[in-house]
Amino acid sequence: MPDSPDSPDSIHAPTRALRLGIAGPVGTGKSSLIATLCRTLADRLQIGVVTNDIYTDEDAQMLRAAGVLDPARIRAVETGACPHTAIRDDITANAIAVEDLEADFAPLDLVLVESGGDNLTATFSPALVDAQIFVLDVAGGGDVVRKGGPGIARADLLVVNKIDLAEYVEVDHELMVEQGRDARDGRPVLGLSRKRPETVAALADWVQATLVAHRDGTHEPVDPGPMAPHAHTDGTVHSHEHAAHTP
Amino acid sequence: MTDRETVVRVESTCAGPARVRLQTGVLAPRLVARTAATVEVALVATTATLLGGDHARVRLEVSGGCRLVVRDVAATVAYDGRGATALWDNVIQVGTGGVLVWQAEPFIVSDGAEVRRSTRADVAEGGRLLLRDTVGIGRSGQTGGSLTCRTRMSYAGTPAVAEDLDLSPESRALPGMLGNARIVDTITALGWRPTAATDHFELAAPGAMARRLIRDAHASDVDSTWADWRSQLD
Amino acid sequence: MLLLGDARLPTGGHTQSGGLEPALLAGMAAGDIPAYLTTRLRTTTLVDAATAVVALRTLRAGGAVELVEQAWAARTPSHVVRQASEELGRGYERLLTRLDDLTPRPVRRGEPRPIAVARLAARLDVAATDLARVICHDDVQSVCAAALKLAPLDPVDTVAWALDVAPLVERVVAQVADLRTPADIPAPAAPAAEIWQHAHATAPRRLFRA
Repeated sequence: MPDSPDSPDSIHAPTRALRLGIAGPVGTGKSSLIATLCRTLADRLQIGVVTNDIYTDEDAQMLRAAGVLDPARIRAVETGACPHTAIRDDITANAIAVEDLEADFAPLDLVLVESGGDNLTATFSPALVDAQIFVLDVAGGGDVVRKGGPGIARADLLVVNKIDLAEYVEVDHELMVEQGRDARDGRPVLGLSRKRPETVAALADWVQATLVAHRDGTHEPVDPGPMAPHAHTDGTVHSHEHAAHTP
Repeated sequence: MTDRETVVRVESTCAGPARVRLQTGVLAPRLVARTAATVEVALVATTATLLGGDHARVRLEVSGGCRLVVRDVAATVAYDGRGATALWDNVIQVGTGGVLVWQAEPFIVSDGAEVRRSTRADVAEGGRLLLRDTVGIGRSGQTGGSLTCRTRMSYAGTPAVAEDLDLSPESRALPGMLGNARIVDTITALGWRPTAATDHFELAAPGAMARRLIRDAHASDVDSTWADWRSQLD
Repeated sequence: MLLLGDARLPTGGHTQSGGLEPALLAGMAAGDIPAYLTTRLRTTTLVDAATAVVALRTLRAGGAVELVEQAWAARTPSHVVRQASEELGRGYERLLTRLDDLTPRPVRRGEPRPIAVARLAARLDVAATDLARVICHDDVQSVCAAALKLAPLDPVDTVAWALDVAPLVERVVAQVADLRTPADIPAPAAPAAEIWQHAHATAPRRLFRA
């Protein structure tokens, strides 16, 4: 059970926001999804953003330039070219940035942590975020969902982004969403285009519902994990942690 | 060879102009101007400074309520010491409410010179110090001798700046020491925080440091910082 | 001690390049990286190792660590460089709160890296010489690991560099091993590296925090 937001001795109390990670391959629209969320939710929620771009600041600057949030609420964290490490094996810099945002702008409702674009295997440590969205896009090809990976299979939400472009890249986005549901044992999948308001509303609703669940203690952070549990010939069953990067 | 101390001491008096005590050493202090609260002194070389075996000592003291402005008349050149080391020690004391401004002219270390400098500055709480220190390795066309600078500054009894700069030929050749520069041009402010700018260091103690590493003394853009910080003391 | 010297210790070390990225951005040649290790060990690293040893002794004696921090800060004039070290320190303090089985709490103001590591060393009964060695090793490896990201290198080269400076590391360890008071901490400076690192706060395309 996660700490309830108002338990006095919790690391998270009393300013503990919902920490929502946004992962996914490069170019799938993580920053744009964050900008969309800020634009949609800024009048309802107090939001902060931490970005992890490979070259610091590019995403942060893009978000600041988008004017969707007070620039001081957008922090960039350098990852030393280890975006995977920074959200998984050594979350120190990101955890400190999140804690600072929560303290500087208390009380925040929502902190979005954008991972530096990585491959299909990067997922957030549950010690850093309470929930995570994995973002794919139709331009990445219709079969990427079938390739799977921990984020695709077990993130709290899988987003298939840029569905308005599907016809131009000859991808059936509805089939992608369908395959996503199959790969995820029924966990939610959302087709998204910032040009289609009903999809943006669905995304915002999911975030708000997750926030409510986080606050009333019914949301439990789930680790998508780097690899499915599997059996060894000696009979032990376990899951492997991805070996830590040398920084 | 001489090791007599050059002294400039300024104390306030209950009435009338500040009391000034001057003592000549390697440098001779010349009173340039004196008003009720401000004393201006020029330091003039009395001999061909600085030679091997010389030990120059300069003591500048200003007590509460007084302002001492010191300037050098010319750059100091440390000449080939023919195997002998030259020493230069500065001692600066600023009392509560005192102000001391010293715009030192460049200190140039010629080929063959081996110099050890030290600067000790203690600023009492409420005192303010503004110091320009420019050291250059080699006169025009020279590779230059050896220089070490030991700096210890405190404010209100707390260490503010501690630096041992080893500009021996072996040390300064290392990457990250001087780059391709031969002049270290430093302005230090203690006792107040000059207006922030991205290109100067804010000390942990109340104060700041602006430093440029340059090849050519005329290329230093730290002059504008000096003028700016100087005006903040008025 | 092995844990403290391990790059996989989760304290945010992977965000640091030991000033190497700023140096390369300022135009230092990649061929100078091995010599840059010597510069670090003779200046910043020596200050940090000495600070850590004095902090460890001060902690064990129940003395005022603030005085050690003041001495370190006086030797680190750039606020940018101090902040980078304090952020690293926060990482170590985060780890320490976990070891002490206290309620994990956010650490707001970090102590500089050498003092934070000294606190861990005090907690783990690490000897002063080992602490000094860890500080040096961590610094050398930060530069070497970052070098692999920043310059075209075979990783085995950086291991050779680290071994090449091992005698210098031992000299630093011997130099700081018996230091006791804040005033004992040497103050060697590398002015160009300091200016490069200071400029890093406003550098537009960076991989590393410092």
